[in-house]
Amino acid sequence: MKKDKHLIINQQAAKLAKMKKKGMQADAAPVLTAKPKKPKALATGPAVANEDQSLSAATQVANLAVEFHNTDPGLSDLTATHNGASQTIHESGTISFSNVNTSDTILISGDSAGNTVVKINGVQAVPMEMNFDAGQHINGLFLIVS
Amino acid sequence: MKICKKYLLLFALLLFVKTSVAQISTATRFLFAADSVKSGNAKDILTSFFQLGLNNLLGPNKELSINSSPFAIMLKRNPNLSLDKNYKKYKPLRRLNFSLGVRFDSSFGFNGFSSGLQFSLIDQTDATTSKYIFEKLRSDELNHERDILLTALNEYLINNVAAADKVSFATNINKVLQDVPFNSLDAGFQKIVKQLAADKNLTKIGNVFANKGDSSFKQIDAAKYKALKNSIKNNLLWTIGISDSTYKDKFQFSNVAIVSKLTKGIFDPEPGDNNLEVNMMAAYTFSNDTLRQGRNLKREIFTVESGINWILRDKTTDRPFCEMKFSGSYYHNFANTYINERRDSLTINGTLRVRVLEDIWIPLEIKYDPRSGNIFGFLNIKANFTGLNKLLKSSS
Repeated sequence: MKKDKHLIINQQAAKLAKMKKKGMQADAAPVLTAKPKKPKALATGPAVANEDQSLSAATQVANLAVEFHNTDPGLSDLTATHNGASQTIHESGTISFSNVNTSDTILISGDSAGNTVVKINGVQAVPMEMNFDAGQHINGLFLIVS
Repeated sequence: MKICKKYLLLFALLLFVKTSVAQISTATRFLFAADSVKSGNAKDILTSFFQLGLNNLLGPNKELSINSSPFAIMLKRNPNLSLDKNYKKYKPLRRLNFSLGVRFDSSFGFNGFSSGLQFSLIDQTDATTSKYIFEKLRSDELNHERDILLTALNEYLINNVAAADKVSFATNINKVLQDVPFNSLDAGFQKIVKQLAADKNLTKIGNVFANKGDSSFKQIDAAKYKALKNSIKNNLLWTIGISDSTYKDKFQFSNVAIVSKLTKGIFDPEPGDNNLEVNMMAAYTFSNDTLRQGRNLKREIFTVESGINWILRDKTTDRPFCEMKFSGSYYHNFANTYINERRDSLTINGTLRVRVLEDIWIPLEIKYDPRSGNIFGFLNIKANFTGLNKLLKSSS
């Protein structure tokens, strides 16, 4: 059986000039960080199963961090809707939606006697943050892009 | 040397104010805007942030004082305090004002310190905690229609927009519903929005697009919010406080006063219209009775004042620029009376407040005693913080 050949460098032991050592590390980096290639799927394997795998990989949890400023709790409300499911909060907090996919949208609407900041995290969306002044109706959508 | 010390003191106070101004956070900026429509008289009763006062400039007892709220100072250091949960937690501190001052005699010689605390028992003029304003926002018909339009636009985005165009379409949805005027959007998108609004029978939105197409919804909301704030500025403001002054040679109280003030607008005018405001003040003062031996607080005087403040507002900005207050005050001395002093007296007072800059007021107070025929005058300068900020910026 053919054995793989490996080059092992003990960087602690090797006495190299600083510049040379850095250069070696830079050269070795792509090799060291490269992910091992996946074995090719069998031609006879189930295509549907592969599709399911890619979908579940794209499904994420989106968190909306909602902050109401310069007002008391209870003098604000914000409703977020994703795929027909709605959640409402009346004071600063987080709204989470699971099973969020690319191209999904999360709608927000509400009012506040103070000013409002809504940030989305856990997913990449357009926009990532929305700001509303005191008295401005909270209304907009986040489009999930990845 | 004495004059040098005075200027150093004044400089130190101004420096403190300037340093504080430089650190105004976004959170506090909103509160400044909410504060700017209050009358100068209301700000004298309870200031929201900082007020620098030069009191009784032409009289024998001049005073340089600074008024502030502990919450305003804390908020400057920690903007997170504006978060609703903290905002409620620090409610007592938001309602509290303190003042610190230095008193001077007629030749600007040091004449002791002064300090005070004021607490608002009832403040219905605060837009940030007004349930009335919040309910009005929630029940706004235009806002409901905007929610329906958002849902319709979202359905259109999901079902009719190609994957490559989704991002720009979603961006346009947020633009039209928030801060971009309808007329500034591209024609194709305008057509879709108009059609959806017509399909859903959104008449109020249709009117906005037809008649206010050059204004964004954000601008329309701001105008509505201003009107809502205006509707509560005439509500009741009632404070209670304690103030004191010390002797110039010893840190000992020479005067302690318990004061309660109340103000309420009479009419419910449109933004920019003039209005009348009822003012009442009651004070119980303890001061040094010189007929007794040694320093004491045995001279007890009760004063009550009641009057009407006429507020003249700028039509366009709704900010008061001039105020005239007419009042009568009654005074009763519970202690020993001095030679030629009456136990009871009545005076007629007039105060003219002129707003010389954005938030710098000059109140001139005239008191007339009908029985003795004496006239007393007091000239003050009240610089509320936003005005002082601009003045300092323009001078630097």
